[in-house]
Amino acid sequence: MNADRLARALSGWPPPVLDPAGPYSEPVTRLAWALLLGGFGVLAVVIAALAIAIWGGPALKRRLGGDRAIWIGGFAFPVIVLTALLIWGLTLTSRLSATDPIAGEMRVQVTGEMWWWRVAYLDESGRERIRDANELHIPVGRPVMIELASADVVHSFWIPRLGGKMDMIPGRTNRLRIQADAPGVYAGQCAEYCGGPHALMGFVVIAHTPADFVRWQAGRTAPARPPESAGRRLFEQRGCAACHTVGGTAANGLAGPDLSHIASRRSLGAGILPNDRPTLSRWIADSQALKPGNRMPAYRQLPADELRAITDYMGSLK
Amino acid sequence: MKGGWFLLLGGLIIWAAHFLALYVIGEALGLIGPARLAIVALTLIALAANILIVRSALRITLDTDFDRWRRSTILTQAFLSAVAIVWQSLPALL
Amino acid sequence: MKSETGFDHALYDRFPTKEARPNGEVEELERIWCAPRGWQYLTVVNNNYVGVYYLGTAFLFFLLAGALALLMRVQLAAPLLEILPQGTYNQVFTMHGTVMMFLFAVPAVEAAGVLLLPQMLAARDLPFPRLSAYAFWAYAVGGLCFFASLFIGLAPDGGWFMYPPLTSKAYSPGINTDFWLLGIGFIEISAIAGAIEIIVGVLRTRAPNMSLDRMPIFAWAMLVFAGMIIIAFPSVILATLLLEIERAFNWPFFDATRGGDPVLWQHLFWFFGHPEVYIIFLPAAGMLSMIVASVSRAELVGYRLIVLAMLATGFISFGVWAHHMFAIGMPPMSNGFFSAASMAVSVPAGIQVFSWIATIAVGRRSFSTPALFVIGSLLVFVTGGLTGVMVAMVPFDWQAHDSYFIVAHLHYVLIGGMVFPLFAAFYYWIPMVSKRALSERLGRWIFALMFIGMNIAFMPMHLAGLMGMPRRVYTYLPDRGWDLPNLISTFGAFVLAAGVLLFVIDLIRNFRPAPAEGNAGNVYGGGTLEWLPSALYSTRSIPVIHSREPLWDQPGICDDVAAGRYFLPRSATGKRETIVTSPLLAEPQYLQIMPGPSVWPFAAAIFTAGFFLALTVQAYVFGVASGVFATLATLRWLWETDRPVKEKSVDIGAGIRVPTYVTGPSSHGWWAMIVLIVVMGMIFLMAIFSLLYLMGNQRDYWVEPPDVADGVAVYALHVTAIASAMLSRPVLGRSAAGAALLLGAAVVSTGWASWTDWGGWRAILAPQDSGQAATVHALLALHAALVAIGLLMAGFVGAKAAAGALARPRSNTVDLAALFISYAALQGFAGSLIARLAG
Repeated sequence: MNADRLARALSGWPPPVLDPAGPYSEPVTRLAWALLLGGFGVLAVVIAALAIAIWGGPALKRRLGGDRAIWIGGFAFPVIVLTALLIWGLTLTSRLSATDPIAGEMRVQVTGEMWWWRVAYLDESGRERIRDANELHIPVGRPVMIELASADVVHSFWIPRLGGKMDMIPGRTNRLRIQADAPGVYAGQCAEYCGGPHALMGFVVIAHTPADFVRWQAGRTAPARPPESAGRRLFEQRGCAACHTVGGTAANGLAGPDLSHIASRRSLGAGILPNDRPTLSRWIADSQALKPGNRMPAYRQLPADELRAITDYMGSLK
Repeated sequence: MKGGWFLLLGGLIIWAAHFLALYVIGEALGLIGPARLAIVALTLIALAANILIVRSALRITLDTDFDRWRRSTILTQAFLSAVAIVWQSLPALL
Repeated sequence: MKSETGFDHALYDRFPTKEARPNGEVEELERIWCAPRGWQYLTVVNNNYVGVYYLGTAFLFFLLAGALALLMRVQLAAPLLEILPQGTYNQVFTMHGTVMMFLFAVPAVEAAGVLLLPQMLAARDLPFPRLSAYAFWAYAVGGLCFFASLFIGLAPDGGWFMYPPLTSKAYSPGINTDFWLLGIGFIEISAIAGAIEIIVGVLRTRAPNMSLDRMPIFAWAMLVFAGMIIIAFPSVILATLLLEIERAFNWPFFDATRGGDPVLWQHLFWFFGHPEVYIIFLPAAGMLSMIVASVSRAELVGYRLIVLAMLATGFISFGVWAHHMFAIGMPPMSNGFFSAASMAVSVPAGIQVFSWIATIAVGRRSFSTPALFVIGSLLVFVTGGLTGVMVAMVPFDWQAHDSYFIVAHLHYVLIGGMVFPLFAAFYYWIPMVSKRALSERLGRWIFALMFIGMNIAFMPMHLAGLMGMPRRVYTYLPDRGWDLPNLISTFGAFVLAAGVLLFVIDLIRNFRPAPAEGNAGNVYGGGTLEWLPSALYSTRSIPVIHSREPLWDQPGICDDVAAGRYFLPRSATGKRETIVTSPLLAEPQYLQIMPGPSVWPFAAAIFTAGFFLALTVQAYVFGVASGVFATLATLRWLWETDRPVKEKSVDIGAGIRVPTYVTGPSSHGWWAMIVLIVVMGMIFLMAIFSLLYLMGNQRDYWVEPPDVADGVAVYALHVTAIASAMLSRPVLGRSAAGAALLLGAAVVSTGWASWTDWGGWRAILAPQDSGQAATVHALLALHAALVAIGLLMAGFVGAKAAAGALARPRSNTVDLAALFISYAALQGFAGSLIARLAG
C-alpha cells in the first residue's frame, strides 16, 4: 500500500502545482488558475487584434490603426489589470511569508547536502529531538515551520503540493511554512541546480493523522536497540559506520544520512528509488550505478554473503 | 534646448531616483513605521517632481517637429513614470 | 529656426546642389575606401566587412549552441537515458545557455548595429572602426577557443549563472569554471567596446538634420541597448573578477564561512542578467519596428510611443533584477518591491506590441517571409510576456521558479523577442549585403517549421514545470508523468532545427556577399537610408534629411545622393572621413578623419584572447607575454591616430566649411572617454555596493576600519592628482613635455595615495581574512589597475611629446589622458573615504 501511495505521489498527474493539499499552496493554485486563464484570454485578444489587423474590414482596421488603440490596448488595459494583480500578489505574498510563530506548530530543520537532505525535528526551544534523512513526517492539519539551511552549496526545497519553494543558502536560515490537510505521501525535489546528480535529489513528505503521528513519534523517540548480527558487525567493520549513524550502536558517522530507521523509509537514494530489498542490496553494492556522482563509494568488491548480511541488517532497522 | 537630456529623460530619472531611495530604505530599515512614512513622503515628492516636469514641458514653444516630439515624449514619460512610482510604493503601503 | 550649435538651418536649403560635380571624385573615394585583398581580409576595419564577419560568427554560435540543445533534448526524450553522461550533460546545458546569451545573442545584435547603423545614419563608417575590428576579433577568437573547451571535457558546468559556492574552488576545483569566468571576460570587453562605438556613432554621426525625432527606430533601439550595456555589464565584469580572485587567491567574497555571502553574487549577476534580456530584446524590437513598417508600406504607427517604450524599458529593467531571487528568503516588502517593477517593465512591451499591430492594420497586407516572422514573433513574444507577468507574481513564482515552466517562459521570450526578429531581419536586410536575396519560397517553409517546431518544443514545458519537473536535470525518473511532455518537446526541437537547417541551405544557395556594389537592393521597399545606393565608402554624398523615411518622402533622393548633390560628395582631405553632427538636432559640426585598415587591432585582439585563455589554463608566462603584446599592439595602433591634417577647415559641400580637428567636450573622442568613465564608475559603484551589502549582512565578521581623519594625507594626494592632471591641458600650449610631466606626476600622486592607504589597512587585516577585507582590497586593486593604465597613458603622451606628434595648443590625446587620470584619482579618493566610513 505504501508503494502505491508513493507511486501516486510521484506520478505527476494531476500536476501537483494545480493539485494543492494545504493552506499554503491552495491560494497559490487559485492565483495560478486566474493567471493561466487570464493569460489565455489576453492571448486570445491579441490574436483577434492581429487577425483584424490583417484580414479585418477597413472600418475595424482604422480603429485599430492609431495611437488611441495603442493607448487602450498597450497601456490602459495592462495598467488596470496589472494593478489588480499586483495588489492580489502583494497581499498574498505577505500572508504566505509571515514567520511569526503560530501556537502549536511543529518545528523542523532541513539541511540540504550534496545530494540528500538532513532532517532534524526540534522541540519548542530548538533542541534536536529526532534525527532522520530524506523524508519528513508531519501530522495533518498542523502548520510546520521548516528551517532551511545548507551544508555546502545552494539547494532549494520544494514540495509542490504543500507550498512554494525556498532556497537553502550557506550562511543563512530561511523559513518556510507548510501544512498538509489530508494524510498521504507528497513528493518533492531539489529545485536549485547543485551540481552532479542534482536531478536525482528527491524528497518525500508523509502526512499522518494526528493519532498515527503520535505513534510514529513515540517509535522514533524510544531508545533504539538493534539486535547483534553479522550484518551489524560488517556494517561497523567495512567502513559504513564512518559515514552513517545507526542509533544504539557504535556506528556514529555524520557525513551521510542517518540509517537508524532506514527500513521504514519510503524511498532510497533521497526520494528516487523504492525501498525494497533488491534495490537496497544494489544500492549498497553499487550506488554509483543507481545515482551516479553521489558521495557514497561503490562497494563492488563486497562478497555476496557479506552484502546479504548487511542488507539483512539494514532491512531490520525499522 | 533648455534642460536638454535631463528634461527629455525627466520622468524616468525621477523613477530611478525614487526606486533607488526605496530600495535603500527597504534594505537598511526593513518594514517598520518610520520606513513606511519615509516611503510615502518620497513617493509624494517624486510625483510632485513629475508635475514640475510636466509644467516645464508645457512651456516648450512648438516651432518644429522636434519640439513637438520632445514635448510629447516628456509628457507621456511623466505619466508612465507616475504609474510606476505609485506601483513601486504599493508593497510598503499594503 | 532654433539651433543647437549655432548652425544656420537655412543652409540646408542649398541641397540638393545644382552644379555638376568635377570628375574623379568617385574614383578617389573608391581608392580611399578600397576593398581588401588576400591577407587584408584580416585587417579590414570597414563596417561592411566587420559587420558581416561579426554577424556570421554570431550565427555560427547560434548553430553550435542549437546543436547542444538537440543533444540535451535527445538525452531527455525518455527517462533514465544514458546518451549524455551526467557530467557531460551538465557541461552541455551550461554551455548552451552561456553561448546563446554571451556568444550569440548580444554579439548578434551588436553585429547588426555595426553592419546597419552607418548605412542607416548615412555615415561613412562607425566613429572608431578599429575598435569594431578589435571587438570582433577578440570575440571571435576567444569565443571559439572557449567553445572548444567542451571537446576536451573542460567546459564550465555550473549553469550559465554560475552560483557560488557551487562554483567556488571547494566545489569546483577544476579549471572548467575558470574557462567561464575568463572566457566571459573578453566577451564583456568586446561588448563594451561595441557599446561605446554605438553610442558615439548614433549620437554623433547621423545624417545632417536627422534630429532625434527623425532617427530610425533601430538607431533608437541600439542607442538604448548600448546605454544599457554600459550600465549593466560592469556588474558582471566585477562579479566575474571577484569570483576569479576568490578562486585564485582565496579572497572570500562569496564564502559565508568567512564573512562573504553567496547571495552577493546573485545580486551582482542579476543586476546584469535581467537587463541582459532587454539588451537582447530591444535591438530585435527595433528591427521588428523597421521591418513591420516596410513590409506594410506604412509609416510606423506610434513612433513616439515606441521610442518612449524603449527608453522606459532601458530604465525600468534595472529595477527588476531580484525577481530572479524571490525564493532566497527576502522579506515580503523586498519581494513585492521587485514584483512591482516587474509589472512596470511589461507596460512598455505592451505598447510596442500594439504599435506593431496598429501598423499592420493601417498598412498593406503582406505575407512575405519577413512579414511572417514578424507575425510569428509577435505571437510567441506575447505568450512569453504573459507567462512573464505570471512569474512576476511572487507566490506563483515560488512554484514556477527553477522549474521547466521557467525554461518554457524564457524560450518564448527569447525566441519570440530575439530569434524570430533576427530571422525576419536576415530576410529583410540580406539583400543589402548579398548579390541575391534569400528565397521567399524556402523562407515560408522555414518560418512554418520554426514556428510550429518552437511551439511543439516549448509549450509542453509549461506543463512539465507545473508537474514538478525542475530545470537543469540531466535525467528524470519514470512514472512521474514527465515522459510524454518531454518526448513531445524533443520532437518539436527537431522540427525547429529542421527549419534552421533549411535556412542554412537557403544561405548556401543564395547568400553571395556583396559588401560594395551589386547587391540585390531594396527588395521590400524600405524608406530609410540604408537603402540608398552605396559602395564601400557608404553613400557617395551624405543627404540632408527631412523625414523619418526619406526614401519615401524626398523624391529623387537616391539619384541626388549618387550624383553627389549633398554633403561630402568627395574626400575633402584625401583620407577616410565622415561628418560629425550634434547629438540632438544633427547639425554638422566637424569633419572626422578616420583611421584605415591596420594589423594592430587584429594583433591586439589575438593577444587579448591569448591573455585570457593562457590565464585559464594557468600558462602564466605565456599569459603575461600575451598581455604585454596586447598592450604594445594597442599602443602601436593608437600611435597612428589623433593626427590633425594640414587643412584646418574644409568645404563639405555647398560652400559650408567645418573644421577638421576639434578638441574638448564636443569631440567624439571626449564622448567615448566619458562613456568609458561611466563604465569604470559603474564597476566602482558595484564594488561599493558589495562592500555595503556585506557590511549589512555579515556584521559578525566586520572590523573597525582605520579612522576617517587619519586618511587626510591620502585624500590630499588624490586631489593633488586631479589638479595636476587637469592642469596638463592648458600647459600643453606652452610645453608638450610639461603636459606629459604633469600627467605623470598626477599618476604618481594618486598611486602613492593608494599605497599609503593600503598601509593603513594592511595593519589591521589581510585580504583572506573576511569578506570586508577582500572587498577593501578589491577596491584598492581596482584603483591600482587604473593607476597602471594611467601610467601607460602618461608614458604614451610623453613619447608623443618627444616625437613632436602632439597637436597643439590642444590635443585630444592629452585631453583624454587627463580625463582618465582625473577620474582614476577621483575613484581612489571616493574609495578610500567610503571604505573608512563603512564601519
